[in-house]
Amino acid sequence: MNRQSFAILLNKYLNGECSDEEQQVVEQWYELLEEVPDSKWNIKELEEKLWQKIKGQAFEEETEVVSLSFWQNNRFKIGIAASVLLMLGAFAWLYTQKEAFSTTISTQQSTPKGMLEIQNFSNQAKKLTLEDGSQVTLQPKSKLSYPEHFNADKREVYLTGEAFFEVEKNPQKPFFVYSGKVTTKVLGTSFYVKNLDGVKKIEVEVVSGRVSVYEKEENEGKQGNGVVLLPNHKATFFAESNLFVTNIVANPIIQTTKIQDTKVFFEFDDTPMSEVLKKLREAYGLEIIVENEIMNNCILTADITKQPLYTKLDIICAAVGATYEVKGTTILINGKGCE
Amino acid sequence: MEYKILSDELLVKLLRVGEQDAFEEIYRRYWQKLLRSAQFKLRSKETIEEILQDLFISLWEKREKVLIENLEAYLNTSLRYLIINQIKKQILQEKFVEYSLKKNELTDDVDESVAFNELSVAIEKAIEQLPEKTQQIFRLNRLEYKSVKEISVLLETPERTVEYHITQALKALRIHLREFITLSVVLSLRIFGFLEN
Repeated sequence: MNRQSFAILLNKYLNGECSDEEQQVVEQWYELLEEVPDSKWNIKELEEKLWQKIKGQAFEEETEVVSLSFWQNNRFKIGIAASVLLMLGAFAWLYTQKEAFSTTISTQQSTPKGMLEIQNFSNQAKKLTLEDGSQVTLQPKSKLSYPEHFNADKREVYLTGEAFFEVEKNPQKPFFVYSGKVTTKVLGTSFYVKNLDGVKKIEVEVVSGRVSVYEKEENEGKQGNGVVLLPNHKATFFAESNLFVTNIVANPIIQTTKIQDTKVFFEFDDTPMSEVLKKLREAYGLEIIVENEIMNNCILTADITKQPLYTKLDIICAAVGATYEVKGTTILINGKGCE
Repeated sequence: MEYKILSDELLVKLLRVGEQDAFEEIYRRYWQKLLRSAQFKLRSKETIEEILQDLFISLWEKREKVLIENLEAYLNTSLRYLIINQIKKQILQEKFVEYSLKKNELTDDVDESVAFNELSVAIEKAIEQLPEKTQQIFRLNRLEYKSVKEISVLLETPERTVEYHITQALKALRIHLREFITLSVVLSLRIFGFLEN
């Protein structure tokens, strides 16, 4: 056979330029190739040797990328069913300043099969609106892939890096963000996801609404080990021990805008402790209990509108001679109380 | 997390988002199957190792861009391309061929039709020499890309029988088409013999 001609035929095949007939002939020829395998292979040894080489080369490039984008390695899978604030990273200021973000340079490219990919190369967050009206604020060096059209039964996007999601509520079409190992499904409105220590420790903080956080299971849709979180709750997932620990976030946020707007909400003037605590519970949506019922008799006069929750508690406790501790998702106030 | 129990589909999703452990599981799950396929097509151990490395490295590099519907099929196709490319390179390493190819690249597409015609005629002839039933099954399988199962249903023949006919057909074809198949083998032997010296 003419080798030169054959080489050209193969080249044509490799470049995808073959006609159907030519392709078929090349593939048939390929199918017929039959060497006698050498039996002297040490499979176990080779498996490791090859893997080390592949790993070295594949992930070496990765580290270069990671040095550019710190959060690239921190991945979660997040399932979202309602309006969602999703953050990877400790950008606590983001939710308050989200309006301040302006749209900047980014790229949009089409990937096969109707997937769109947006990558934010700028150093500012970029806000985009998805087909269903959901909004995503994509942080710098982050990337979002999403279908041009969502499936009939679910909305799925892929995130690398960090983003802020405000998802349109649609119970018939849950919203999923694929980003790694832990699944966080939102039953209510908004939350953060933080990764503290690579993929070993993952934190989910709920800003508002109800969120369920669970370990990614082998079967999609099946929920594994997990917890349901309320506003200002935080779950920490320890990947090595597969353990969820629930807690209160470091800086709880006032839940209702009504309270946020009322400047006098935390101005107390000879107000009984029971009333003060009721307001705190209402504002932060947290469980606050007194160990000793007579505590409720204490009277407080103070303006603690501007202070964060824990400072409020410090002030209150100082005023009435009490102490507080956080046990799980409950704030416990201890003290002798007032007659 | 136990990656071993994850489906291919899920591994592909995790790979897409850059999950290194998912990539490793894909390697562990398929490397040996791919090795075995490669061993039937190429003789040089080194070349096979290189090809497997290239295959997985490129899978990782393209993870975000490529949409993989069937992981195993995707890997097999990648392997086929890499091997054919290797054989092509081997053919080209014969200097005079390389020279004439380069010369021809400058002009026009050279007649790949020579090889194509030769090969397709040879394949057709070889198929025609098969027993009728074997021929029918082989054509359905290789020319119409029907699976063993589909053929079994279509011809109301047990799957095992279908498989038997296909194996027989391949055996016969290999004998009839020896000239074409050994092309790459003889060539590679010669080249690797040269390299080892």
